[in-house]
Amino acid sequence: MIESIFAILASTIRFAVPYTLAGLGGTYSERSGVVNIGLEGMMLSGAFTSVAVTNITGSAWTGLLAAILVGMLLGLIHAAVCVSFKADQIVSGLAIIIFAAGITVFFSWLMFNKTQIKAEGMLRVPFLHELPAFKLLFSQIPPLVFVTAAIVVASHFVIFRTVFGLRLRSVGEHPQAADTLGISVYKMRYSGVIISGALSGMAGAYLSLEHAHYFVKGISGGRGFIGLASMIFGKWTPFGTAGAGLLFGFGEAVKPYLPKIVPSQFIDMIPYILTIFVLTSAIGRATPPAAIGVPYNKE
Amino acid sequence: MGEYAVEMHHVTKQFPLVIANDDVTLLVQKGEIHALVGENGAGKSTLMNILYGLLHPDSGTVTVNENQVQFTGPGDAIACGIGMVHQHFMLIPPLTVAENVVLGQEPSRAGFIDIARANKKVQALSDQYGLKVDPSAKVETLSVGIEQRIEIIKVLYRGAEILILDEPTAVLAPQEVEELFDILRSLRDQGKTIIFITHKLQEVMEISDMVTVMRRGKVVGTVATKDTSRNEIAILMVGRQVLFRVDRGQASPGEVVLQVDDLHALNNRKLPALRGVSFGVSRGEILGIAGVEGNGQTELIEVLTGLRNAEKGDIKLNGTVITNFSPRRVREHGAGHIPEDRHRRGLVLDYTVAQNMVLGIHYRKPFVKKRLLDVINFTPIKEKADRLIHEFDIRPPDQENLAGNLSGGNQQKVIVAREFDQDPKLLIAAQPTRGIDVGSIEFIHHRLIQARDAGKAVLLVSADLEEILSISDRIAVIYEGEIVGILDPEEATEERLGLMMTGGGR
Amino acid sequence: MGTLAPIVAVVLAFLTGAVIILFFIRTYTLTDTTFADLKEAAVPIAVIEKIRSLEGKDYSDKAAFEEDIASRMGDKDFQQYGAMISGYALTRENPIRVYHEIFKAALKDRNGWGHVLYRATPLILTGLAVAFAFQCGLFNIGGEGQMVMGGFAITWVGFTFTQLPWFLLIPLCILAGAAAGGLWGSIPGYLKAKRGVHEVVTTIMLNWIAVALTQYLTMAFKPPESWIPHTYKIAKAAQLSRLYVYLNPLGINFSRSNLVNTAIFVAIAAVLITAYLLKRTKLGYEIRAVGFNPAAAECAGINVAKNTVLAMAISGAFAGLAGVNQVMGYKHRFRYGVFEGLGFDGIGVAFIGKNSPWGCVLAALLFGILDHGGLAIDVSTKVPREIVLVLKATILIFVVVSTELTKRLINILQKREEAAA
Repeated sequence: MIESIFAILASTIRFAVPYTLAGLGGTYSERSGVVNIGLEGMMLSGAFTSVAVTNITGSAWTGLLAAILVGMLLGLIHAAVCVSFKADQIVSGLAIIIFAAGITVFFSWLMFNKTQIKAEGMLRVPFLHELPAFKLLFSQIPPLVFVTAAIVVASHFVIFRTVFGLRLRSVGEHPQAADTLGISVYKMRYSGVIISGALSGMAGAYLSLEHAHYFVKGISGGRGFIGLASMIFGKWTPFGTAGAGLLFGFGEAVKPYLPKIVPSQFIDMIPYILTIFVLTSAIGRATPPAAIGVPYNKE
Repeated sequence: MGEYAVEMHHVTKQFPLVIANDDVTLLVQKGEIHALVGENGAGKSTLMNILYGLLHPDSGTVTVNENQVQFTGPGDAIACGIGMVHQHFMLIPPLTVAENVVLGQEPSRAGFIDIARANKKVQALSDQYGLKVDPSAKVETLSVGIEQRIEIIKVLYRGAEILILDEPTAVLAPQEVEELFDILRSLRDQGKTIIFITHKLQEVMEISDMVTVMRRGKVVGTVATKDTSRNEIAILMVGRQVLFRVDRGQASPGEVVLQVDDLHALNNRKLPALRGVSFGVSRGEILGIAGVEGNGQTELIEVLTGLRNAEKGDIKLNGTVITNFSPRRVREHGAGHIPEDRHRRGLVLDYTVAQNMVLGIHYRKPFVKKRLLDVINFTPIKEKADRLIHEFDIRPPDQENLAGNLSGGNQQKVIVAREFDQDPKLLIAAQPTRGIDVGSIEFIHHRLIQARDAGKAVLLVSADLEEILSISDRIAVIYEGEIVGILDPEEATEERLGLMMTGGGR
Repeated sequence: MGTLAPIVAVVLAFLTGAVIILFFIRTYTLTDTTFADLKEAAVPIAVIEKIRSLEGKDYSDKAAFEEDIASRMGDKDFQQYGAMISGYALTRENPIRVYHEIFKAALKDRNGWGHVLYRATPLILTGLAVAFAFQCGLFNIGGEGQMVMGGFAITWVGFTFTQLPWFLLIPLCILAGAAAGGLWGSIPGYLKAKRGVHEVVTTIMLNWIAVALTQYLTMAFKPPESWIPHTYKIAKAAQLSRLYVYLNPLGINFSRSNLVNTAIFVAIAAVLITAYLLKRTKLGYEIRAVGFNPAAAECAGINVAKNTVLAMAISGAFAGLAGVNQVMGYKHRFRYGVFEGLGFDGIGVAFIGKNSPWGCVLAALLFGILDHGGLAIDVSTKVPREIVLVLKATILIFVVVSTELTKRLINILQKREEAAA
């Protein structure tokens, strides 16, 4: 019984990571005023890149780094389209999803001649992994989980306590006011979107390197969208997103233990139903940053 | 005397349709409160935008603290110690007071905002000038009066010595106005120079040291406040001109068509915009409601036409109570509406002239044929459009032309044609000739009088006093959400109206 | 100018694709020509003979190629000549040939067209869904969800009312699809009209709720003996015939395996209905007025809330009809895999088609060509079929960017004119 509880707990945390990281990425982007539904595509790209680079270079950390860079590249494209070209943010995000779906399998065939690639490497923390206690810990709760937790905490401070965070939020709520005070709306929005790419890429790397140990076509499986749901349910805050991620992760973790009468698909629906609920409710409604989705025109 | 903080000499600024500033000279001494007064469109905001670096003058010089300057943007103005508090606040609701104030010049340590230092600075400024604010409160929880104080602290934080306030009391309740004045006096006593734009004369008399009056782009007078009176300023503002009076003939009003009783309504900020408005409009008369914009006219029209709910009070049209009816029902009960914003409310610019001609009655026969679905019957629409284009001389006379391609005057004619053709019992015309050419203005005025003579009740709401005077049979003045008086034509002199429009009627 | 943008976008996308193909598709093969080139380059015949046995073998992986060469000629020779050999053996795929293959497979004969039409049918409908909502100023990205709800409804009616004759069952199924999709679409419409919640997020969420729901329902209605996650088969009376049944006797020959079926007429009917609704009915007039200027529409007495919900419902109904092709015309059962992605592709179709009904048809045909042609190049070239996804995405990005791009181009041209004057 106790073992089950621990297993569920560890499972919850493991499932929560991609939701949290993607949702956190979304938070940075949307806080700056740019909708990013392309998280799913950035995650998928990160997943592929991490495995491909790990297998080629033999180093999982390099794979992780590459995944983050690829995510940032996609973020840069999204930012250019949405901020500089002032084009439709939803369609751009959708294009990124389709693009990622195509290009990951494309390169998968080219480089490895298959669409299911085993990750030949794991993220090992240099000294700690030698110690048996940590080895056991990391086998249940991989290193990236701790990195994620650190990023969540750090993000809270970055967004709410730093100069950068204040300006980021101002640009998402009232870009005109920020502009009159000399803040570069374009620069802040680029930053927000590129960070969202980096975090989504990391989410993908986690998925393939530490969670599944595999890259498979379409491995992101909608987790980017659950990340969006986490962000909304978490009211665009790092701790809220992490909490939502844990909640949705718990749903995943508890599925095998459910009695037959509760269909697993209903658990799958929960993140989305909760999100709609929190968007439409009369009390405690989640409101996005005020200027979101509207390209800024410097008159 | 003291030196001048601001000197603007022979400043001219022209826009495509109008000369906003025509050889304007403004001199403001250091440490004085200078009021800049005039009606809408007088050129006050343009002049201040030039001073603040948001606009460039076509000609003329600007001198600040004895140095001639050429601002490329607000940044330069701020560097010269000029700060502007806009009429529409630039505050970010979810952030705190201190965060809003320091944004862009945050006190920081290693990238982290030193919130304690920010709060202290804000508190210090607050104490120094009597601007009571709580630095850590979120702006979205605060009243408009406090928001304004935050804007003032914002400019002080950036070292403003010269403050420009644009219609600062427009959004304030009476007690908040008093508090603002205390703050302004405190600022002046500590050496700041203040220019404030307003149209409310009792405030000018109460707080300012000097007054400059502008009318239609020119300065018509600069006086020391203690040497003048409200009446004098009103006359300067409104002007004794030869008005283009339309020969409107005698009106012979009949029974009351529109009866408004004790109407109360809130504006978009949930503040009272109408505070008990009552009046009546009879058949065969034009009632003009005069007033400076922002005193409740927009809300009044919206309530009358079903676009806004009344909190209290009644509206009766030909005896039927129509309070809070939907726009379609109001129209069906015989009200026509020429909206004050023709682009936003009056027309669908992406539709053709013909399509706009039936907007609002498009669902009625003969414009639809009742099949499984209501199918558009194009022939009657075409005929109507042709007829109205001809009758109202709309140019170019092409009914398939998109409404967005027409000039302002012709766009307005489309709306007027549409509304007239429905033969309403009550016609509500809001700012009907704003921003259009003289020929179209004449045309529309003639049509309004024609409508009156045909037995319609016409409610004219306009910020253009000349228009009100030239075609109204009776004139009401609205000020701060109340009708402060209804005058017969003989009593309605420019001075009297000017006074009532600026708060002197009570 | 408006029609130019999608065409330019498509061209730019194909250019991008060409660059990708040129740069990344590399094969190393030793052919007669390669050996001849090596001889001319003064590589000793002895060395060449060592690798003669590898003639004709295709390598997509440079490392494997070099390994094989090195193992046959020894390290010393490899160090001296290896790079040169790799250089000559390298062949790239010709993008023009690749594109030619795509279009050839799709358009060369009637069967190709048939496949293209089959693939375009659901896309026309999901594209219409987005385009119609757009007329009311609404962004419906819930096509995927509305489609599967409609699709399941079609299937359920199809395997439940098995006693009905075809002329009752088929319309009933179609109605069910439209109704279910319409209902699912009206939810975000209602939330927007009454609660002011932006439809973009609600439609995304409802997508995944619908997918999960229909997956549950699929399992609930799965034949017990089947391993595949699909439902019971719909009655024969509900199944639509493939076009060859009608056209072959007329001499218009399609192969029996060609999937194009009578559902295409539903799609065409939907396009005609859309065009008619929007241009010729009061409903269309009001919906478009709300889309262009809700404030003016409100002032004129148009009920903005009602039209919002209606527009979303009609939009959802179109998406729901996609199942007519996928279920009634093809699989005869409900299975999500048959639907996957069509709703999202519909968004692309609508945007590339500039949100007009006929534009959707053209864009859907384009996507159909790419999808079908993609299968062909998978076999006939070294390019994986996923290049089609890359092409689709790039077209989308360029289309979306085109307005600003055109604006800037015009600006630059204007400035040049002014400078010259």
